Amino acid sequence: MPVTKDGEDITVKITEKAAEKIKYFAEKDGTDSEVGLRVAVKGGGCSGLTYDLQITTESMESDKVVMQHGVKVMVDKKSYIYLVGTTLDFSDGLNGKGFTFENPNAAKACGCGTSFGV
Amino acid sequence: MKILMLLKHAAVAHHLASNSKTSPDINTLSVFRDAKNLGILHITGKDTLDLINRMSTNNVIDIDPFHTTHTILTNDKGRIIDIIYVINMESYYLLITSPGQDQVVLNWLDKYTIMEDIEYSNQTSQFSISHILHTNPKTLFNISDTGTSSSLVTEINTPNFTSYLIPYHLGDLNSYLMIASSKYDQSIKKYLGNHLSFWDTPQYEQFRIAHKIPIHGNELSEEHNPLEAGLIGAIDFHKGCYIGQEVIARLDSYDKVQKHLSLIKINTQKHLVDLELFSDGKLAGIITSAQQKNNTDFSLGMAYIHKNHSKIGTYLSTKDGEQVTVLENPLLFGEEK
Repeated sequence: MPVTKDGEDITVKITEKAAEKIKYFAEKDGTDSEVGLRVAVKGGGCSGLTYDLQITTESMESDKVVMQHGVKVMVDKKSYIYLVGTTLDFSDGLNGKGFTFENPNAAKACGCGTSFGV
Repeated sequence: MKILMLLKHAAVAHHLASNSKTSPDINTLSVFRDAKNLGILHITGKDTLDLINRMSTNNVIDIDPFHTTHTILTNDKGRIIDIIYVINMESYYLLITSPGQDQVVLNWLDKYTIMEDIEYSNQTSQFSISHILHTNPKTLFNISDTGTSSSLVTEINTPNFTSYLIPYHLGDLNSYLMIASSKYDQSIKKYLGNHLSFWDTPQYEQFRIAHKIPIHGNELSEEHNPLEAGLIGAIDFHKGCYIGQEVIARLDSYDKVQKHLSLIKINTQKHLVDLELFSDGKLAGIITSAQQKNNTDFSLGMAYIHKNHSKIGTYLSTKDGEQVTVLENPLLFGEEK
């Protein structure tokens, strides 16, 4: 069941900058069709849960799928409750380069940026 | 001056260790005990090692088939949930837990299993486990020692039972677990009994304390972290994130470990577990295990002692004035890797 706020579905969002980077990596990977990103959460890591990103064109039947900035974002069903409302961005600043997650469900996050706890 | 002090410390440690050495030589041991109370989890799924690697201190990601390794599950505060032994049986994994920790470990792993391909089953009651202390138990089954790896699992086949002999790393001991279906329990015990001496729990407990082997419930719990417990040799500081990693790395980097698990000599035979230790009237530590040494008037024990009082040769006292001496700050799995 989708989570909504003010009548609007809340899902995982990606910024334009993150979308451009995903397309860049997909191209490097040799993907010439529709660019897709699968977002999921794995157990473990410093804070107990770890983000998992995969560039892929294939979605699973249970995935929640939404097109954003030309990228097909697929969210793993079991991971959805941990990710709902999350915004994926890309940072290339001096303080760290890579994808970053702004996750409203995260009560804590670790220094490496890929692990969080709820 | 500094060298003189170091030499003095070394001499005191040697003197104390010689005085307290009444345990059998570990290289000539030929004994077994019932270790049925150890927990066994049966795990299948391609993500098994990946998940355990992200949840524990040691690097387990590359365990070859029919090999084993030990690692420590820690909570988000970097405290010990359990030392576990992971055995790669090729098509499945066995995970050995401390006595009574099987369900705790299973629940902990299950809590963090989200999208991973992993199935758990608690099979503690379905296995018979014997703990063997012997230089090379393969010789008991007429198996030539072809393997050079200290972590290699050996399949044992006799006319009466089939089992696995698994290296069980406990410091510098030649220690193995023999695991089989519980239906073979009696035939295995009979076989081992014909070749080895049997140790009951008090006999093993005395040996365990003398050889500084911490156990869950006494020395290992969610009140202590692996650095305090002398388990630094089971921590891989280069493997990346796991639950509790940031806390453990910070404690190590900034030298913030406040207490050490120590082997102590106590000049009394009284019941001492949970007894507090003092230095000049100030609380300096707490005893976690202790047992009187056979034919002596003293006991050996293990205690968590504040770092200011844990130097070898330091004298402490109990509330009633019995003298306690710090003999050693052991590292069960050796130095930092």
